[in-house]
Amino acid sequence: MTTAPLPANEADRLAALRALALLDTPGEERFDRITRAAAAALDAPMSVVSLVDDQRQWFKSSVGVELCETSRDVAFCAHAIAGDHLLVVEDAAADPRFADNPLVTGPPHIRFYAGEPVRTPEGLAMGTLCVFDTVPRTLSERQALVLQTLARWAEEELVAADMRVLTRQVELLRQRNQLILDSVAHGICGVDAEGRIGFANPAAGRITGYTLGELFGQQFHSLLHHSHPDGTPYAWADCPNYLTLQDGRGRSVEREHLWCENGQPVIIDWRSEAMVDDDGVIGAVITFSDISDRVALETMKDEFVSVVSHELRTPLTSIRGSLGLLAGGVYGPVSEEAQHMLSIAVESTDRLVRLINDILDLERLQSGRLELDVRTRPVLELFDAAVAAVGPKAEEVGITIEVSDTVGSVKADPDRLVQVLVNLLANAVKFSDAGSTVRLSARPDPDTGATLLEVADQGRGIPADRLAGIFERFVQADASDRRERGGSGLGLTISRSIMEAHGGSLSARSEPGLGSVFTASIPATEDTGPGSGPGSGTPDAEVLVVEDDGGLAEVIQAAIQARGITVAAVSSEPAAAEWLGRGLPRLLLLDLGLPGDDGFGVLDRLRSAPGGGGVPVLVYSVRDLDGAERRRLRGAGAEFLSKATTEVAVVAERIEQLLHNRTGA
Amino acid sequence: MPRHLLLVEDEDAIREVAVVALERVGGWRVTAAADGQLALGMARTDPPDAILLDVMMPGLDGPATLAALRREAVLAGVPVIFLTAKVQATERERLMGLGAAGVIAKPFDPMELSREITNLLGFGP
Repeated sequence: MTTAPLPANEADRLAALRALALLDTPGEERFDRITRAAAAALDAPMSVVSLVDDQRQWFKSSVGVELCETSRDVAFCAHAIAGDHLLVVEDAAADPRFADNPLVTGPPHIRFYAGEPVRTPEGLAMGTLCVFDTVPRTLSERQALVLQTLARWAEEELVAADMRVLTRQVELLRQRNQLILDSVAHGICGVDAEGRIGFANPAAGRITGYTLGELFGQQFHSLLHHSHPDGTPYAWADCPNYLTLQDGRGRSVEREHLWCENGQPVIIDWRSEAMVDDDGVIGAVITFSDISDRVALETMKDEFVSVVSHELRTPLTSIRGSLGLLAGGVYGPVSEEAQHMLSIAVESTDRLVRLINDILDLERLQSGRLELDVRTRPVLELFDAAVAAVGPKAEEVGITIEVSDTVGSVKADPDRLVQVLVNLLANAVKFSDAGSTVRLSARPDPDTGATLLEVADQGRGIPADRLAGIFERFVQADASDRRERGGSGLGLTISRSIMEAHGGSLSARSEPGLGSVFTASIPATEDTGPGSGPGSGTPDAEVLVVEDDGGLAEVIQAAIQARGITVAAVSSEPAAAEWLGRGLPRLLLLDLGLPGDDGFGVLDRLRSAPGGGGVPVLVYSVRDLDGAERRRLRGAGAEFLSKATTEVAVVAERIEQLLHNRTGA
Repeated sequence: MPRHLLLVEDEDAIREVAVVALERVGGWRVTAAADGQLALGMARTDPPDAILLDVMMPGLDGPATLAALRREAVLAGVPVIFLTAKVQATERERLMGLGAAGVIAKPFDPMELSREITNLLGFGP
């Protein structure tokens, strides 16, 4: 007896067989009718649909055979699948391959066998459709044709079996996905390329108050996302979801409103992710989560902090007040020792007040609720303010402060930036020894164009393992500080938060024994980055006045400066052109009656500079304008004020108004 | 005759300290009210030269009291300085926007209170 050789692609064949999931399944009529037909058509007592596994052959259907499987070694079908055509054995007893096969020498006593391989659409033989008899026979051509035809039918049933398995798997997968989508707390909507909802999970319905049926087919944006929180319309073209559907890039948005079925808004964070195939963007998946609770909690926390801060101040006022009166001698002279005790009490009270202020400050900064009043200011002006606050103390302990600036101007909230500088300078002074120098400097970052404000001291320094921690709340750089602390431990935390609120940063580096350098960084903007005159030494100004009458120019400048606005003045068109070549003002005040030029030249030059289109222009002129000139002014977006009828103070007020409208945005 | 300052403050302890700070340390003639309504009555009978007005009070709060004062012909021109425990810049701006002559923060230094008020008003006791 010869064992059949293994087919060439046995591994693939076995994998395909397993995928059919037919082995060891109950008998099915759709296969039984084939074996019956084969037995009848070929007039044979036995017919089988066999599947050849790695160790055995197993019969999916059989006629006239008791067995349901045999080992592969003795299987005629194993031989059949090794070839690629009908296997006919006319007399098994006379065939050396099968003569001593137990199925021949014993039951079912096979003498005649005809088996046609049954293959998958890929051509892998799963087994055979075969007939056998207990007497030697031949197979006519016609009978061979019938057997082969019936085998093709068996192959169709295999494909059907495959389809059923696939369908079952797909259904299971669908059920599992459905389970996931149903239990997810986020709302999930699938939209098409026009933003219409084709799918929504139960959470989407819950969050918005619509039934899933009400959501289907609706455009997500016009049903749920049509207005801003303040009630103004939210244009579809402005919606990030629209943009995602155009360019295929995912977008996340925080804190927008969805409008529910009952007309009330719900606050959400949401993300739109595009669905893309070979043809482009076919739709998007929008996921959103209801953050109303979190927002309410934050509001509560914010109000709580405000209220607590206020409540703490009330008894503190009484304490500070009564102590102050005692210490001030209002109730009679106080002994020296008693005076000392009272001073301790008053200073501690002041320290407590500062602590409350700092906590409130920090809470506002870190919850993003602090509004910055951003203006462009000369760096030296801010440095002067900071040094003025710290200077006396520095002098007292014998420390020198040196100042240098190569940036010119900076765009920031001036009070807050000075707060940071005072904090850094005060720390530097605190941790420096008498006779040393603290350096305050401003320079541009060569790589990013950001403005770097640095405070460098020659003090004892900060050990490397504590360096990162100094920005944490309530951490002092040195617990054994001899000098009066008086700090809340929040100074650096607040300073860092202020810098981060500006989109910048605060960092420190230090060498114990040599000193420390604290660097506050403000990112570059069009106003103050490279190209606006770093190193030029000329402070930038918010308003440029072009006026050839020197006396009037001075009056105008004074009036503008009185409102806390920086101003520069030039007296001719070439000077104005030179100024504009170095940078742009935030507003231009222009006299049309300039020598050698009608003033329109300056206007044109401003408008043609990059970014110059948006700068407000006030024309302050003594001569009346004709129709053509007025039209030209309107076309250039300039406002006209007559020197004859409008006082300088009114002009200054209008300038402040225009500038504030710009920052308010 | 020292000038007359009307103090409006609902917290008893603070009112007591402030009166001493203004009278004994500052030298003003001081009358004091514990709420806005009383303050209006007192102001009508004995019009002050200036008013130091607490912001957070039950009933008529600081701003409401100010508004009521402005509606009275005799009192409308009396300068008002607010006293407040809320220190944010936005709050200060809001109060100044109501037409106050100044804003003083709590806690205050009782030995300096009168001087601060004098600076804001442009006149002293």
